[in-house]
Amino acid sequence: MEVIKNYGDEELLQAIRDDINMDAAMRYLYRNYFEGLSIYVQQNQGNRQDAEDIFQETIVAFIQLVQQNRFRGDASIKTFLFAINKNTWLNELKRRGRAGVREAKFETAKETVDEGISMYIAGRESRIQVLEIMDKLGEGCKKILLAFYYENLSMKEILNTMNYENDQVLRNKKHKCLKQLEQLLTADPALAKTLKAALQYGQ
Amino acid sequence: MDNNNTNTERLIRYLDGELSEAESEALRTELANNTAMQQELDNLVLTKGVIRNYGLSQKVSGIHQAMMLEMTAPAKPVVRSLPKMMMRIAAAIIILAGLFGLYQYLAVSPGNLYNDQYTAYQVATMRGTTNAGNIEKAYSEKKDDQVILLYRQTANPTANEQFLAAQAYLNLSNLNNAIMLFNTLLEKNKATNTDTLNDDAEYYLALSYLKKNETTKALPLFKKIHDDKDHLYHDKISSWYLSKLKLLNWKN
Repeated sequence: MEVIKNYGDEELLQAIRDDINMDAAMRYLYRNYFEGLSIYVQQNQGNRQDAEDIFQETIVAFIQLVQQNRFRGDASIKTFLFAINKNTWLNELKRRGRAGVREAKFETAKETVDEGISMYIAGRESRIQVLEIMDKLGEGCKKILLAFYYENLSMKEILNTMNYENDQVLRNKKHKCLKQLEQLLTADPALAKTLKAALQYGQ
Repeated sequence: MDNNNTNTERLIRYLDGELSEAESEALRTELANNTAMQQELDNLVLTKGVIRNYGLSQKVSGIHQAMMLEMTAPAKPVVRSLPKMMMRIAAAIIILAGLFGLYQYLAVSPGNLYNDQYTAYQVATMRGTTNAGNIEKAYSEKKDDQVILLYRQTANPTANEQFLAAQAYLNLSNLNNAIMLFNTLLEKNKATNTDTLNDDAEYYLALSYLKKNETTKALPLFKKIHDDKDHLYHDKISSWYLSKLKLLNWKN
């Protein structure tokens, strides 16, 4: 039976920064903020599915911004999430060409979050392209790269779960996969540029 | 292995934090003078970031599915078996009945039951009375003390005068004298085989006993009135009232 953990703002931020028990932290965000934030989307031309999609992206953005120390903590988590959710949705409306009068609202709303966050949100479409690119990698490549770069597993730990002769063979495979993905990403210079700006890498 | 591949290999090891400090320093120096190599490192850093972003998106997506199921799951209907439900209803009824009984038990008192029943006897309703004497006049004027005084001065009071005197005593809460006079009247009727004011006397005698909280004596009289459909006061004594009297008697 799952024990439902409750967090204070600072405790939650610390857990996300340190990547501790992320599942519980994400579940907490859903339980406490999903309904409230989904209302905004549904009251502004969105439906339930839109609200769910936007909230998912809000959570991804929130976690990455916290881990990049881009959340300064001068607003509550609730306010910050609301700003991301709102901007992501207005951006999506704009993308769908339904902005119209909302265009003005969008431009105004953008001012409520800093430039870097806006850029992150604006990179949404690029990240959708990334999903397609990742699907072009084989399952084996995807699994190795995620295990090493996202789950932070050592080569030895990965070797235990995959069928490779030895550590060196696995290492070579990982390098090839990384290079392959790099080439897929940089094949479209515009995409690479947007992603760099959106994800603030290298900082 | 050509030079490009070697550089890529070194850059990936640098990205993964696998180079020694000296190797890293040498690479950084090289990067400062090699734009193409720096560009490749930037691309690898971007690629790593994209992988992390993808991993996180996949993770959130998994949590999202689970949370949507959890948050939209309908509340489990409470299924109760029929016997269990009947027992619950029965228990509820018993509890309510118990509470009602407790309330009645606490609320019942001689004063309450007396006030529920008592209405002052009206001379105008006196049946068969033609003698509008002084006692009756005083009683009509609600001068109970005067009624008693006149009664005491009367050498041979009639049944009517005796009854009115008993009523006056009852009004003045002189219950012993009221009871004595009502009883005397009833005994005389019995002895002479008459029924002058007999029903009235029985009813007010019962009330006198009740007011005095002698329920063991009041109860048989009220029961007799309740059981006798021809009794003048039969309609005034309901089964419910009799039950409350029994409760009071039990309480006493």
